[in-house]
Amino acid sequence: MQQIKKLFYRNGKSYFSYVMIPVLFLVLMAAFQLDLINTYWQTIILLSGINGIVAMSLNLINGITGQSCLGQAGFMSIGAYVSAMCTKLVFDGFMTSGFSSYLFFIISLLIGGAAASLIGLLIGIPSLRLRGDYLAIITLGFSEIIRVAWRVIPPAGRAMGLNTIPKLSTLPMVFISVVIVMLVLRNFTNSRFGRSCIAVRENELAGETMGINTTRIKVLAFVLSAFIAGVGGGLYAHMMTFINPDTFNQIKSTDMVLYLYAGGVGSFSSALLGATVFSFLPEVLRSLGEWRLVIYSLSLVLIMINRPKGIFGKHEFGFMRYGEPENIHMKAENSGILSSLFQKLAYRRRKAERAPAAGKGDQ
Amino acid sequence: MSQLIQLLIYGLQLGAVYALVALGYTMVYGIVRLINSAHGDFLMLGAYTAFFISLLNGAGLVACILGAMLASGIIAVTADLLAFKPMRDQPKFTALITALGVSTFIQNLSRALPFIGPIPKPFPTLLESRPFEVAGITVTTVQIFMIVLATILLLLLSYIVGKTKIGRAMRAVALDRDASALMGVDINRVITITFFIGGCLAGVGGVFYGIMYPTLEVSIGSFLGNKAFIAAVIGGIGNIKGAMVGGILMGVIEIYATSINADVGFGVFYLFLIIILLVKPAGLFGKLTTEKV
Repeated sequence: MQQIKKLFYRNGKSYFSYVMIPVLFLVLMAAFQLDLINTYWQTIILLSGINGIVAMSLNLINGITGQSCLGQAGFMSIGAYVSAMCTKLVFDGFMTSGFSSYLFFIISLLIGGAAASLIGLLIGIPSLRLRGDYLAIITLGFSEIIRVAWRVIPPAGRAMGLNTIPKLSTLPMVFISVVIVMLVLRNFTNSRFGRSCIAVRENELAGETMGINTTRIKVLAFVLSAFIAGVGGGLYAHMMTFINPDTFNQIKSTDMVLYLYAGGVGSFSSALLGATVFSFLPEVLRSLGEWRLVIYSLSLVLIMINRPKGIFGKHEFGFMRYGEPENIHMKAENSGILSSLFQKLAYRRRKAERAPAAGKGDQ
Repeated sequence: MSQLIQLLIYGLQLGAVYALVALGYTMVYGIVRLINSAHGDFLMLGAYTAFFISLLNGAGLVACILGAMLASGIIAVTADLLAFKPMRDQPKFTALITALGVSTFIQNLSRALPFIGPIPKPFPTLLESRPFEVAGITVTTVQIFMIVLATILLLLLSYIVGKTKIGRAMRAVALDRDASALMGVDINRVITITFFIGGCLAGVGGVFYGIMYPTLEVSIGSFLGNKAFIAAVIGGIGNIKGAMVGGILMGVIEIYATSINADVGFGVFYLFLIIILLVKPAGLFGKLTTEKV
């Protein structure tokens, strides 16, 4: 692995992950097209990508800006409903050929995201005055109110929800969305606004003293996060082909938070990987019947108790760091369960190699 | 008019349950600063314990309530020792995630255990409900029993917190944990007792819930727990008086709202929460603490 990685070093930067994205895409595409994996697992792979998008959007609020949001399913549901209503009711006549249906699907996704971010703005302005636990509670409250709103709005199908939504969330759509979302979040985090977000997280008062309009920055992060969650919701609706208000209940919100924190809060890559691992885990354990969810939740609790940094820690993929290699301090600070395990193994190996030489030195 | 008072009685009955459960949330929050999302599941396990005790021959209402109290209390203390204690020094949100994990764990475990299982169970009628009429309003013995017992428990709790030595220790820990440790208060003991009392009240709440809605399901805990939690927040989380008032208030409001439209009933709960938080960010009785830099 290290040898392969070394092939992609140029001018002190690693282009490994840049190359790996198309490779991964081609591998998955080939596997989907040649039916190497059945439809069930294909759905799980798409679902983990979509969950990853929403978990990453949550990381923007919880990890980067340091606020606590618990109601991401609310924004997801707005994106899902609005985009599904667009493709089903508004753009129905336009979606004749393959190309135009994807074009209008993308437009619907963006409209869904925009609607979610508008609601995010309306919710964010009053609620971001609150802090900590109270903010978490109020976002939870808003997401429940959104859910109740869908139950009483007639075009949204009330409690029945919407069904026969066109199945447009294919692998290329989801994969490219994940990549685009990651790039947008990377560029945002490294921009002036993103650094302001980090300043708010580290010390709000100090940030304010340095001339950052903290309320504005928090609302901005909230709106962007709502947009991305809305897009994720739109993808979800067009993958499942049916949604109802109870799809986006509190369990969905907490699931997103659990993905993020089990993966490793503060890093977008970890959010994606955490969502992937914990979307797959219950399905892998399916043969255990009811016990699979017991193992699933028990593993979550054990991770949180023993390694609060999560499975993957704060590591980012290479392209999320613009190809800059991680130095030894970042490695130590970012380490999650996996990397500390690797470090331990590497340490043991080095010790075993050195042992005979050290023995001679002593004599 | 008489219909409004009739609904008020129902509201008080529901509010009594909410108040009992909300107290558990608020006491734990006041002392450990943890939103204990698993509290509703302690309640669910208490209700199931009462159900199993009622299957025994000759076991009456009192045995059921005591058994539920004890079971919920012991489970709450166990959860604290195993899961929440290691999280004391971690960031608050990480502790909240752990509590969420514990909550899903308890629910899924009870779903997987063969003697609880996913199928709803009928809760037995522990108390014969005899209606009688007072000035055009129908009141049942169950309602009177529940409201009276809840009031007694609330008064007992006020006495424990306000007048006894352990209550004084609780208030001290809630005010300043480090200073009270320096004054010789055994923090861990106080926290354990707090979890136990909270669990006991949740157990009673579980039995009350079973009496009111006689189907037991694994998810009743999170369902009722959520509402009680909101009631605690509205009253000002961390404040015992607030939890009592908030619980009763939300019970009454919910009954009135659902009598207008069943779908909107639950939304009103959250709407009320948001309005209260925006107007009074620390709840009705809470004091806003500024975070020190």
